Amino acid sequence: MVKNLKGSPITLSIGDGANDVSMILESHVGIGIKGKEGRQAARNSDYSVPKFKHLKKLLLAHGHLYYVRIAHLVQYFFYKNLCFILPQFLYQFFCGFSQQPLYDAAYLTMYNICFTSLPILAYSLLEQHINIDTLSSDPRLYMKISGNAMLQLAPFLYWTFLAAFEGVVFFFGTYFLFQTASLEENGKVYGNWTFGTIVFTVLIFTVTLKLALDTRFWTWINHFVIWGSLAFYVFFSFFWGGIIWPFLKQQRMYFVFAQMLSSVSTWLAIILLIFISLFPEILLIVLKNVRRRSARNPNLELPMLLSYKHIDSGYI
Amino acid sequence: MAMNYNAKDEVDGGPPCAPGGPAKTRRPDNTAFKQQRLPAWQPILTAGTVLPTFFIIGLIFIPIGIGIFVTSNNIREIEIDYTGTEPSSPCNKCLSPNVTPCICTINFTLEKSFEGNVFMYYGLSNFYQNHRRYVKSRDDSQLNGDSSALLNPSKECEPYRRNEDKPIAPCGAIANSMFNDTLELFLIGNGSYPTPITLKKKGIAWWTDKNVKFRNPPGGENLQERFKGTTKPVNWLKPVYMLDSDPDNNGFINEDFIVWMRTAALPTFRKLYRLIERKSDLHPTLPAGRYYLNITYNYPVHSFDGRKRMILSTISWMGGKNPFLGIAYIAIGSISFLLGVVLLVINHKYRNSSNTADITI
Repeated sequence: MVKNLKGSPITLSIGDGANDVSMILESHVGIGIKGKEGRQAARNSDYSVPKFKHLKKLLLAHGHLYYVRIAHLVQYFFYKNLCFILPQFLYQFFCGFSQQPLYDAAYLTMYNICFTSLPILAYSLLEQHINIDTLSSDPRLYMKISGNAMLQLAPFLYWTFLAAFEGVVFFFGTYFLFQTASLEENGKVYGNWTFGTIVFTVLIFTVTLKLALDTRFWTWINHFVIWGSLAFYVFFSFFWGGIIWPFLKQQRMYFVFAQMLSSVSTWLAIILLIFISLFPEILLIVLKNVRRRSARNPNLELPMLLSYKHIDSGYI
Repeated sequence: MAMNYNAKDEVDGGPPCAPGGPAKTRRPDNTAFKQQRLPAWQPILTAGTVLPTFFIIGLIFIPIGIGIFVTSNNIREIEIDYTGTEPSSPCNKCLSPNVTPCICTINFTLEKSFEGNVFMYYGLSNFYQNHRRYVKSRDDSQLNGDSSALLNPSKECEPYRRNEDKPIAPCGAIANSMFNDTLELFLIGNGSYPTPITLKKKGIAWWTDKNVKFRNPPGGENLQERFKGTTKPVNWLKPVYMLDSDPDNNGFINEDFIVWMRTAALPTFRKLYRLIERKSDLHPTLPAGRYYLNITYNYPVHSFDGRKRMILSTISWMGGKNPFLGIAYIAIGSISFLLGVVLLVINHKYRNSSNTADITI
């Protein structure tokens, strides 16, 4: 009956006896308690707990954390792929629409799996934007994610706008950098693969640092995967361009990365473009903090998470 | 929807176990990782910690921007377009020449002298070296000196792979369209005979390109011998082993060839052509005055509305003249600093007004 209400709410039911089995099966999420009334309810549920008291942590801590982690994962995946592909798309306007890739084939292949997958994996397994004890002690916090708050249109548009803005900054930043005879002290000239590598370097650092800004719970694993992914990118680039690969007909990336790093202008441009890209995010952190100050519980230091509802706008 | 529960996976409170066996439990281990109790640093990003960042960024970026901007402004650069499409241009006669090679001369004046090393570039416009079919039309193993690839070039080079039943060396569209104008520079002194400016043709390609990536095929002393069995690219006047008399700049390791083979990123690009080395600290490399440029106009660009230019430029630690980087640093530094000030003011106002607010839970 509740499922047929306006808005088709997601339902969750809790039960401990055989008479609760049909209710547990009918709802979207069913929790069964292994209690005095036997194990029927537990057998037919999605999650089962041995005692009633476990429900509190299951819902308030695990449920909340799971939602935040998964919602952030989904948004982050679309975001990092949009900023990856948009510069390639923009490049088509400058290469005669001939589908010339901006990045080298190795970078295209390894972007999603090798350079940007581990940091978000660690985030989605370990993140505690508010730690478990605080979540269990204050039930009102659960209201902040009600109504699928982190996956509504507004947060999605924000992530999309951020990705589009960053893609444009990466590409046109490098485009304007190249409006000169040379970027090196010896007057020598760069080619299209260096152009693509500069864009790609800024991209990798920006999306990883964006995740670093979002992470509120830094375990050693988070440090390892975030800084490790960046280090891996640098080492891989040196390695890939370090030798003439036998049996390959083309050696287009040979020494490109190392040559790119020998130019002071390129370093300055990379640092500037990373900062410009992360600027909206940093600005938002400060602005949200300023707004929050006026209605803040001094005992509760709440972190800023995008599109969190204000604690007073949910019902008690 | 609720899923089926496998009776075999029962936990505590199940039927009494077989005698002698321990009770199986699915309870997760009580480790820090599995119970999500790992020690962690939780950053508290308040205005107090983030605002100083804006000020610091502003204070670092603005001086850097000013430094770059001043350096860029001190770089001297002059561009001479010599396509010759306007009837008044001296090179107009070379568009449809009645005598090959066509030589034209363009006069120009340097307002200020060029100090230090001066770099001469040629620039092309509307030339898509970054077209996909063009970029892949090369054989790097042939250019690396591989003997089998020399006589059997890659299929990517089609249709510039074979000609008159012989393999083309170097194969591909990139090599075939190599820039072949010759530019010479002369200073018109006071009344005396014009002095030619010495143009150095080595040291223009990347060191790794010249010494590792591009190698002549192995063989005897004579370079022509080593290229036996191949033919020159269709649009070239001379074969690859006659590009220069200097054996260190001939064949695949000819630096003009190597510079051309590095495909440019954008349709309007410049490539390094020659170096004019500084003479001494007393005399400027190119004193202010009148010059003329002697062009052997071989390279046809008017069929695709392309343009050709010669650029003379000095180079600094940041490269060539580029106001973008300097202006961008100054702009971002200023915005950051300004925002820091604005947010500090707003923060102060809110902090003062919320002191009296009473928050009930």
